[in-house]
Amino acid sequence: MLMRTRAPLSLGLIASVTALVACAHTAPPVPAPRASAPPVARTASPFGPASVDAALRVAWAKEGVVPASRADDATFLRRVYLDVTGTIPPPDVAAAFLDDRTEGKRGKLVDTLVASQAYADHWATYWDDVLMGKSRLGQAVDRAAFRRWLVGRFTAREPWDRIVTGLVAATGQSSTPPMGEEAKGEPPEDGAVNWTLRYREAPQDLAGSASRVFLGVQIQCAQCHDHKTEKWTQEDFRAFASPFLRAKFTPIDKTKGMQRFALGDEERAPPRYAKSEDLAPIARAKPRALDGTSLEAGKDTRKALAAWMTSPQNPWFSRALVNRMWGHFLGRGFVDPVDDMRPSNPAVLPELLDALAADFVAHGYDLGHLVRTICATEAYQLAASRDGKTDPENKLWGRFHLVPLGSEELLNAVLRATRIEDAAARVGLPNVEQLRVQLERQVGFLFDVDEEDDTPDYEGTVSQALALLNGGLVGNGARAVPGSALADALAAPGDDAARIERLALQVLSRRPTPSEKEAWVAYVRDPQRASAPPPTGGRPGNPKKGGGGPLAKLDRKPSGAAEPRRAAYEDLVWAWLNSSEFVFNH
Amino acid sequence: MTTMRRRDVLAGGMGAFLGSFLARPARAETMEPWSNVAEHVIVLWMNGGPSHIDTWDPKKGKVAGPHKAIPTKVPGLSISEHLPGLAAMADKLAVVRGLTSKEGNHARAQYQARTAYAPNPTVIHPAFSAWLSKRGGEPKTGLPAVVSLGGPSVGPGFFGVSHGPFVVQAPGQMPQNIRYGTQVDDARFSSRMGLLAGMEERFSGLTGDAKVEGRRALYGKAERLMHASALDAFDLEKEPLALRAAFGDTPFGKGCLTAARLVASGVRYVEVTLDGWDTHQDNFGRTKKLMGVLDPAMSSLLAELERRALLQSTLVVWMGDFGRTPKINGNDGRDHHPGASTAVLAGAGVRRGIVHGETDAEGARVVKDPVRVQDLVATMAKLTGMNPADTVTSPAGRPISLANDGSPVAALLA
Repeated sequence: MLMRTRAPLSLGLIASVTALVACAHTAPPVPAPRASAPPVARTASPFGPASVDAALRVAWAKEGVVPASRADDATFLRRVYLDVTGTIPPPDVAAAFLDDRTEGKRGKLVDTLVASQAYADHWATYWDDVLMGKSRLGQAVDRAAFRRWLVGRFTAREPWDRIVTGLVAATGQSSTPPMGEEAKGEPPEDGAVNWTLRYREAPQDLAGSASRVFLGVQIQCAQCHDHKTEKWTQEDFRAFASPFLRAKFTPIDKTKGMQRFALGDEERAPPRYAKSEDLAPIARAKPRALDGTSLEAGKDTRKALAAWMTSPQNPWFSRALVNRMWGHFLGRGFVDPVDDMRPSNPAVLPELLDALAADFVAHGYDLGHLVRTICATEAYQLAASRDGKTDPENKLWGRFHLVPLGSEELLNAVLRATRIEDAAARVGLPNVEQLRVQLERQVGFLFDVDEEDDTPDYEGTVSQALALLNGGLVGNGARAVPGSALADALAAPGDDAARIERLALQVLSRRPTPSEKEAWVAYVRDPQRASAPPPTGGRPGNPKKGGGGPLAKLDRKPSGAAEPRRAAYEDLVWAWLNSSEFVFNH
Repeated sequence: MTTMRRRDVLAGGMGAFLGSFLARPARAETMEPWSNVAEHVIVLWMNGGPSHIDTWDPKKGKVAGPHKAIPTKVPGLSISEHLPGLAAMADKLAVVRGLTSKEGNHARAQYQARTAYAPNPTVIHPAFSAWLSKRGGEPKTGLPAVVSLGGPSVGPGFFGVSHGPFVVQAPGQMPQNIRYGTQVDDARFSSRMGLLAGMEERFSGLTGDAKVEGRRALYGKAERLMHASALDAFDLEKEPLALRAAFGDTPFGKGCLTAARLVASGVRYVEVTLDGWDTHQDNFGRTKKLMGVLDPAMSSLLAELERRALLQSTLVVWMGDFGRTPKINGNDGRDHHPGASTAVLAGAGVRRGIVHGETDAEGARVVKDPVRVQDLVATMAKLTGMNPADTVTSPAGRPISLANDGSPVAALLA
């Protein structure tokens, strides 16, 4: 392998992973990159989850890590649903999975989920968030078109190199005109254009974003000065950013307040950039990749950049994606934060990262293959418990990292757990899609969590806690209004124990333990005696009627809470929705 | 900006954070005596970029609009005729006429004004308010350290969300979700919290994870806020009608009165937003209207703080994205102009009744005593007893200072 500069790991984990040596020795001859990382070697021998397990076993033994016990079926089911599709399992799926006694049911479940439309929708949402963020981006960026484009790519199961090429070298128009108004000769809609369009006033930031997200290299640090600890210079940054200055936006028209653009390319950076203090030196720079490869190709310079980025020879591309995905599924990447790969922030188990990256390349950048591999590993299937012994920061994944649900996942989970949308439809809230958008806005604003970085502490705001404690989504979701999951459970035949089991599957995606069942049955039969609540200060009384918001109409709907037993069930669902068990992926 | 939200690698985490909850505000070593130190900051944020020429820095000739200049209590200082209340109390103000920056884009300028740094996709800088929260600690009253009234403000960056603003979208109303939901009363809420406590106990036992404890602590904090007697500070019904009328029946007027009440209850930083200053069209009609909102609210705020003996411990800052062009465009508007603008300071530690800096005859360029945005942040840091050069390491390993390379402006200090 080529020389790698690597600072000593804090754990002293310079792993010699014998199981992997065989896989990582056939590096193709490529020009030596000027910076730190060698190209990813091609995999020759069969590589799979067992190789990952073997590598981790060696590392664990070396560091004295005793892995936690295996997660039970219910935990695995909920975890994999959230990670692969962004929501919790439907209760009937949960029951069937728990009762299934066949071998290999976990693998089958993952296969099914990776093949589902929910998978495509979830990853479109994920990348929409990473690339566009949550804030509004003005009247030129068509978020809906961008999302449509992403959903299309993931629905077609396009490989990662094609998706990134589509983004970096996008051409076409940003938005489809209203029906029937498309002029002849116009380029077709290419939603990917909107990502470049987002940065039209600051193409240097587009370069920084492309490098950070797709290569895990924070070249942008070198925009202002030569990097102190890394090799990047200002000149490197300017040369890398220069292709993006050839993007040419042609305004098409303005409809319904939305300015449409066509994106194409110029031979060279347009003169207007010469006036800008920041952009003039970038406009003057010769287009060059991070390893020094010239990218000068006239109007095809962005294409040349995309080709260089996504080439199997590129040492960063596959590692960055594998590291990001591993971080998404395992709660922490080999490199943390996932988008900051540099010699002074080295990977734990770099050989394992390399082997996974090589396998990803060997399988044609197939994201589904990578997801299936990760989900089948022992590490991914460990419990989030302390019954083993982990390194202090759990850098080796000896137990599962708790990860708070992101805004999208949280909203999806509450909606599925409560079926509040059905209840809302019953009281004549007109448009369920619209309701969702409004809720997304509220929840998205409040629960905007950072996925890219592992934090040992819980990062939450008082406003988030208040929204779950007193807000309409959980408050109404926990109410037994007609159409809700709770109302249906209350109307179903059977005793309280059966009802509680049904509801626990609905909300917590598991069956209650015997002692829980006993406590909760006691509670719904006699809430006063069953709980001995601590006294509260007793101030916030008199709820203001309704309080507005998208669910205001449900507020006025009586749920029969006057009836103590029904009210007690509502309390139970409310407590579940507020619980850490619900709010974390665990 | 990007979706990056990084936490501070140096932060002591939730434990240290809760530790500071009870402690007397910790101060930097270089702190000034208390008498001269602002314990609270109120920023009146003029969103969109207020025209300096039409407010605090009136000009003559073709760049002047229809607004006339009037004299103030400070000899030689004239301001817009639509700020009569502030003109009458100009002897309490320090008017900074030489504010200057390079950022002419709203998002970038708004970020820089709060953080002292231009945006950079590799790090999200903590806002000044977050530094105040981190270095100053939480109020003992159970209220948040940082409150934003009527706007999102700028967040805590890598200091972590616990130092971010508690946002109240509609000033004058109680914070969202602070009251029980439908059909919930004290008894039912306690009963539910009892159930929840049992679940949390079990899950905490299963996972033994600090995040679960952190979340429980956060819920405790939220519950304390719900029941805090200081919560009344958000409730303007407690104030006499005449006083509310003096501030003006506008969201900004309500925000200013709420700000005074919050500061009295220990809140360290309050930002009140007055939106609408992006006057590319109809600049004169709109600035007149906006000053009609601003003048009674800001002058009543200063008077009320003085009446409550809080002006000596509170720094008030009027600022916005940037200034606006001397040239009047085809839509009778003015466009973005970062090169020259105005900020106004008053209160604790601020020299009174002065004008600092000067723009040219058109208001286009600063010709005397320029103050960069980071110098203004450094001055605010100095006034609040913090060290403008206080430096932490970003998650990517870069040193980040409170005021970037800004220096406090000595002429503004009393």
